[in-house]
Amino acid sequence: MILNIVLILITPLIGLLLMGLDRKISARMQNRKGPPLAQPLYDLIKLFSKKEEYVNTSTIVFALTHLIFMVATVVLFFLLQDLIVIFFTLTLSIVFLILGGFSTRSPYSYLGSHRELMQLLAIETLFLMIIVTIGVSEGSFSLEDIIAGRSYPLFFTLPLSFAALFLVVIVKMGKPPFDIPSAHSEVVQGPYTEYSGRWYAVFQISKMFEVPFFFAIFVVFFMPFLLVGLIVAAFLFFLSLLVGNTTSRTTYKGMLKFTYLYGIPLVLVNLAGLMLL
Amino acid sequence: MEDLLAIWPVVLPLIAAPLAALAYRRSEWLGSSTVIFFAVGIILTTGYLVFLGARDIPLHLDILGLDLIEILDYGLILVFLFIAWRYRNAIVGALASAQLVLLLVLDLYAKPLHLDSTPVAFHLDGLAVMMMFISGVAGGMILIYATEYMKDERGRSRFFLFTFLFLAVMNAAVLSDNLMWLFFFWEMTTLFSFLLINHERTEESLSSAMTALWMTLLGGVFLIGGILWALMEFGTLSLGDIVLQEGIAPLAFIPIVLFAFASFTKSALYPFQKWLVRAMVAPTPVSALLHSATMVNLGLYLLFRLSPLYEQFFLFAIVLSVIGGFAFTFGAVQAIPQDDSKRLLAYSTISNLGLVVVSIGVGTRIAFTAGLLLLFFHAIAKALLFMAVGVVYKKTGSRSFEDMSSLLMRMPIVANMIYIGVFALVALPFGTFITKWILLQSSQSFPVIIPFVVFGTAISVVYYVQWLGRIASEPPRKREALETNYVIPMVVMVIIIFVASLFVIDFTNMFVEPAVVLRGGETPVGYGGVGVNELAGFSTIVPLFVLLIVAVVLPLIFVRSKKPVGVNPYFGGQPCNLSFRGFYFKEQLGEKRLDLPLISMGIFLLFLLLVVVFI
Repeated sequence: MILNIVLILITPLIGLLLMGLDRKISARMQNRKGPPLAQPLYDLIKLFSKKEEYVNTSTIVFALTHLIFMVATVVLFFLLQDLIVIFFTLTLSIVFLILGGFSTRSPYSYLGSHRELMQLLAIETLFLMIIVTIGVSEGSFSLEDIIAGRSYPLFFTLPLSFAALFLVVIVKMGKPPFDIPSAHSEVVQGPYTEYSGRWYAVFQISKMFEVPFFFAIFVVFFMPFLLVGLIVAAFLFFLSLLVGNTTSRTTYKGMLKFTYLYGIPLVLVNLAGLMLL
Repeated sequence: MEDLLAIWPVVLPLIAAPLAALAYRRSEWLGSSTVIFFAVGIILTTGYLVFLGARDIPLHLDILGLDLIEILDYGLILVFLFIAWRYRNAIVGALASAQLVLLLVLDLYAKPLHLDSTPVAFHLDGLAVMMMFISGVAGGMILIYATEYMKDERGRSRFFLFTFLFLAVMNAAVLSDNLMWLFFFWEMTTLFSFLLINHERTEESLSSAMTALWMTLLGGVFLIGGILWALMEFGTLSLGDIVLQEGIAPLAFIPIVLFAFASFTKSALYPFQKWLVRAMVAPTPVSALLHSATMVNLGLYLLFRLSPLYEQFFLFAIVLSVIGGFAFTFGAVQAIPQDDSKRLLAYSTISNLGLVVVSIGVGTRIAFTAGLLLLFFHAIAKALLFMAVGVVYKKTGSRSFEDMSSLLMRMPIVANMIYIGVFALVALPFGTFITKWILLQSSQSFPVIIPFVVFGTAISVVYYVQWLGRIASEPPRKREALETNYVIPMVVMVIIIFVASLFVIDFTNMFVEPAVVLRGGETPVGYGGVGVNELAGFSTIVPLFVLLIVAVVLPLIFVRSKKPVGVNPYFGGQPCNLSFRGFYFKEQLGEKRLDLPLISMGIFLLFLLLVVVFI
C-alpha cells in the first residue's frame, strides 16, 4: 500500500523528467543542444507567475475537472483497480478537455477540440479493445489479479496487443505525425488556445500524469520482470521520439486509418489467437 | 386483494384517460391538475408494487369473460383496415388483412384442433412489475411535464386521452399471459402510437405515422403468425407455458424467431429503425413516451420474456447478440451526422436498445441483470433528455444544435440536465456504465460481441460530446426563466438517476433481481447462472461517486468567486466575428448514404437468425 502511494506521488516527477528528456533527446535528434533537463519545471513555474486571464469561467471548470479525472486515472491505476474503470475515467478526463475547448467562441479552439474528439475516437476504441484482450487473456479486469502471482509476462500471450498499445501511445504523445489536435501552424494550440498562465499550466500538469501512465501500462505487460518492463518502456519512449522527429503531420483521416487499419486488426488477430489456443 | 392491486397500473390510467380528456375540455387548470393527480397515482402504485417484492401470481379475472378477447382482436383489426381505407394506404391494408387471415385460421382451425385449455389472461411476476415500474415512473413524469408543454398546443384533450390509454395498454401487455391478450395490447400500442405520432395532423406527421404503422403492423403479422405456429406446435396459448418447453425441435423454434422479429419492429432495431426516427415529428412528450417509457420497451420485454428458450439454440443467441451489437454500433454511427437533437436522441435510443439486446443474447444471469438495468437507466435518462430538448424547443422554436450554443449561460438548469442525462448514458459511475462494465466482463465467454461493444461505446462518446460542446460554447446571452412543471419532473429524474446509481447493488437486488426470476417459480434465466453477488465486485462505485462530486462540484464552487475578465478569444489580434457550425460528417455518414446498406444488412441478419436455428 505504501509503495502504491509512493508511486502515485512520484508519477508527476517522472512525468516532468520524461518531458525534459523528450525535449533534450528531440533536440539532439535535430542536431541542437536543447534546453536543460529541468526546463519543463521552469516553464511551469513561469506559467504560474503570469497574470491570470481567462475567456470565461466555464473554461476553468472544465480544465480543473479534466485534471482531477486525469489524476484519478493514475491513482486508480496505481491502486491496481479495474482496468475498465480506469479506461472510463481517462475517457472522461479527455471529454472535459474537449468540452473546455468547445466552451469558447474561438475558431481555433473549436476546430482543435473537434480534432481532439476525432483523436478520442481513434484511440479509445483501440485502447478499450486492448484492455478487453487483457481481460480475456487473464479472466479478470482487475489489475491486482492481473499482476499478482504471475509466472510469465502478459507480453507472451498478448504480443500484438502490446504492439497496438504502442500505436496508441504514439498518437497519444501529441507529436508528429499525430499532433493534429494542437497543430501549431494550423489551429494555433487547438483546445489549449484560450488558456494562458496557470490555467494553461493545468494541462501541463495533467500531461505529467498522463505520459507516465501510458508507459506504466507497458511495464504491466512485462510483470513480474519489472526491470525488463522498465527497459522496454524506456526503449519505446525513445522510439516514439524518433517517430515524432522523423515524420510530418497527417490529417485526422490519416490518424483514424492508422489506428483502425493497423491497430484494430492487430488486436483482433491476437484475440482470435487467444480464443483458438 | 393482491390481484386487484396488480391491475391498478392498468386500471388507473384507464380511468384517468377519459377524465383528463373531459377535464381539459372544461378548463386548462382542471385538466392539468387531473393529469398530475393521476400521473402521481400511477407512479406511486407502480412503485408500491415493486416494494411489495417478488411475486408470481396468476390473475383470475374471469369477470372479464374470456370470449371478450376474440371480439376485441377482430375489432382492432377492423380499425386498422378502416385506417388503411381512410388514408388509402395499400401496405397497411395488406398487413391488416394478413393479420385478419391469420387470426381467422387460428380461431377456426388451430384452436379447436390444438388448444387443450384456456390459459389465464393475466399473470403478475417480477419482470412485469419491473416493466410497469419503468413505464409508470418515466411515463408519469412525462405526463406531468406534458401539462406544461401542451399548454398552448391544439388537441390537448385527445392528447391526454391517448397518452393515458397508451400507458394502460402498455402495462396490460406486460401483464398478459394469454397470447391473444398480448396480441391485442401489442396492437393497441401500435394504434396509439399511430394516433400520437399523427397528433399535429400535418402531411409530414401523417406520413411518419404511416411509416410507424406499417412497420409495427408487420411486427403484428410476425406476432400473430408466431402465436399460430406456437399453438400448433405446443398446444398452448400461454406465454408462461411456452417458456417452459424443453427439447424444442428446430421447426418448433420458428415461432420464437417470429416473436423476435416482432420485437425488432417494436424496438426499432435494424432494419426497422426508420419509424422511430421519423416519429420525431410528434410533440416532444410523445417522443419521450415512445422512446423511454413504453413502445420500444415492449419489444425488449418479449425478448426478455422468452430468453430462457434461447439456450437451446446457441447459434440463435449468438446471432441475436450480433443483431443487438450491430444496432448499438451503427445506431451510434448514424447519430453522428444528426444536427437535430430529437433525431440524435432517436438514433441513440436505437443504439442503447441494441446494447440491451446484446445482453439478452449473452444470456447469463448477470448479463440479463445488466440488460434490465440498462433498460431502466436508459428510460430515465432518455426521458430526462427529451424533456430538456423539449424545453429548448418551446423557448427557442428550434431543435437544431446550432441554436443551442451558449445554452449553458442561457438556460443553465436545462443545460445541466442535458449534461447529467448524457453522462448518465455514457460516463461512469452511472448505471449504463455499469451495464457496459458487466457486458465487457461477460465478453470472455462471448467474444463475438467485443468489437460491437467497444466501437459502440467510443462512438457514443463522440456524438454526445459534440452536442455537449455545442451547449457550452459562447457567446453568452440573457437567461430565461423556467416553469415549475418543467423543472420538477426533470429534477425527479435526476434524483432517480443519482440514487439508483449510487445504491446500484441494493437497487439491483430490490428492483431488478426479482425480474430475473421468471413466471412459474424459480426458473433461473439463461445458461451459466451467476448470481447478482458478482455485482459486489463493483465496490468502487461509491469512491467513484465521491470522485465525480469532487471533480465537478469543487471547480464549480472554486469559480464562483471569479469575475468575468472579458478577454476576447484569440483571433490574430482581431475581434472574432466568425460563426462556425458543428462538424457532422453529413456526406460520409448521412442517412442517404448509410440507410440502404444498413437496412440490407439488417434484413440479412434477420434471415441469418432464422437460418441458424436449423444448424
